[in-house]
Amino acid sequence: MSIKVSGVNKKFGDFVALDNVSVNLPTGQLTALLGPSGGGKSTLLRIIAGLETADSGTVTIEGHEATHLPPQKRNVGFVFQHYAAFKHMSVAKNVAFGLEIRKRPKAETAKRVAELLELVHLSQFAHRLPAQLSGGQRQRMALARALAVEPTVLLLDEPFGALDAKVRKELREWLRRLHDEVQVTTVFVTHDQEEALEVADEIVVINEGRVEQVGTPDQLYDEPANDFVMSFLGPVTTLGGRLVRPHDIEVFTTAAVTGAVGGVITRQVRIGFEVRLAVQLDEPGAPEVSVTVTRATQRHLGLEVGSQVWVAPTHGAPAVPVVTPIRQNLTA
Amino acid sequence: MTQTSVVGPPSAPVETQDPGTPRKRRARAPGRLGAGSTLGLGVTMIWFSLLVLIPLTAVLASAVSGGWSGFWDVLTNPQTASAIRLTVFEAMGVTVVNVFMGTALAWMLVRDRFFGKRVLDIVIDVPFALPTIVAGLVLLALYGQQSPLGINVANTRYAVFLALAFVTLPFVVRTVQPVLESLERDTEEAAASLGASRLATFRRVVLPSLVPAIAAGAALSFARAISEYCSLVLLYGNLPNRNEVASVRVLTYIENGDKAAAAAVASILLVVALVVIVLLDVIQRRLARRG
Repeated sequence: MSIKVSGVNKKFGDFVALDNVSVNLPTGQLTALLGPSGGGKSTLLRIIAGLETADSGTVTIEGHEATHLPPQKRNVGFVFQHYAAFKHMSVAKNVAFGLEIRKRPKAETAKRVAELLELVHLSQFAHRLPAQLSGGQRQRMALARALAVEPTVLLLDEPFGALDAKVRKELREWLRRLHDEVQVTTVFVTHDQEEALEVADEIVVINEGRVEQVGTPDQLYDEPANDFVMSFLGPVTTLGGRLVRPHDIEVFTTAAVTGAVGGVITRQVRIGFEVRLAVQLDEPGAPEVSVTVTRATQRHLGLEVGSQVWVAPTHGAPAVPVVTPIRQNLTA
Repeated sequence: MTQTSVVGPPSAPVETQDPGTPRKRRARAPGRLGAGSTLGLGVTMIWFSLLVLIPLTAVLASAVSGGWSGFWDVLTNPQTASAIRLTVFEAMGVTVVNVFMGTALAWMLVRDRFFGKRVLDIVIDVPFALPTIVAGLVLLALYGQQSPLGINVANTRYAVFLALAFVTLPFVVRTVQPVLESLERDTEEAAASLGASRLATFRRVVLPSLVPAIAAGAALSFARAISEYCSLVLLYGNLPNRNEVASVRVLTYIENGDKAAAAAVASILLVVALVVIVLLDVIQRRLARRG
């Protein structure tokens, strides 16, 4: 295990940021810490980096006890959401910073900086100042700067959070491929489930200072441990006292299917190829169910507002019992 | 997305702009201003001329009204030369002290938590708000013949230094403080995780951002120090060649009706102030660029 966190607690005043958190992050993998804002995932990352100290618990990195090491001695690369560029230094100087601090020979530093700038495709920008780069370029510079010191682990705190949607998508694909090439143990924090599902080998879901579930993207999506994990990974709705994904509900126009519940379509929104329906069940007091069908299904069944329909979860669809009242996303 | 390499560049067109081509901007040809700008420029220039340019030119003109030899005679007068030298040296000394102490104070006010911080933050401005004659009075009471602390520096050069340090204290603090407040802490954290010690982080990451503010504060502090008069009159004891400052010398000349001589001293102060301000700006630009 590359990074081992055991029994870590952290409080900020009365606020419990981390509550007895233990996770093992395997060597060479790309792990996502996923959870809502304020859930403690960034705090955990900062504790691993030594930028924050845990109130109790231990951190080991590659078998070395690191709990009380200052950040300078941990040999981790850290990438910040807002780039943390050294504004007065050129791109090349930024990347060279860690090597200059380590007093590497000038020729070696220059060679390594050139290699890294090549890797992050910023060679022609070497002499620019960070202010003259776009957000995506600045973040790639920050990545090169972190990789320059050959860190044992690379930690990224919401690395694409400040970028616009298009650049964000491109950069995360690029990060995935970069990781496959560089093979350094990487942990990144995100609140975007799509980002985590797309990029990570393994996802740690963190909420309210606790680890909710650890697993591969498939495990998390197909076998969510609880209602929180299920609802965090995408839209959910309640049907028959269980949480189900809206696209895992089948719609029938006859009552022929056993277990299907009757209702009336009250709203219908079409977004491209998918159609989102709100179905008010006939059963008095039952909550509205949201259902997502394809445009083709909607047309085929002739669904429209006011239609009488019967709904049932598809066979084998993941569903978890509703434990706590959760935020329902009816329009989603 | 291009498939030419394993790690292809993100293919956003904005991302990979050619470094050689500056972004095109709609702008008027240089030297041409709109009606609003012309009016604005005119008003500000007239205001600035009335307040600064014309009086300064008048000073310079009257300085040489007695001819260059008269000008030279004034400056080579041992008492005057000594006063100018003292003023410039003391002002430089005070400025150097302010650069260090002011930055340290600003650092404390922004980064540290301690009892009475809010109060200190307000009190910093007091030397600035106080009529400087009162400042002189306070200093005389504390460090004069009847000093309760047993420190008597009245009528010495230390008194001049103290008075100047007192009135110029807020400048560097108040220029550095807001810059320090707006600094992003994550750059320091980034430096730390890259292995930089706290000292190296300060020197290579924090200081370059502070240098312009420190230089601006130093320029203000120096300019104020060479022109200071009121807080000194009570402390200096009017001992020619020992602790007489240039501004007092100017007053003496005026009282004796020698306006040309007064203007000569004033114009020297003017040139010195200008040279120092330009010098500070040059140093600042150098340091801010180097990392």
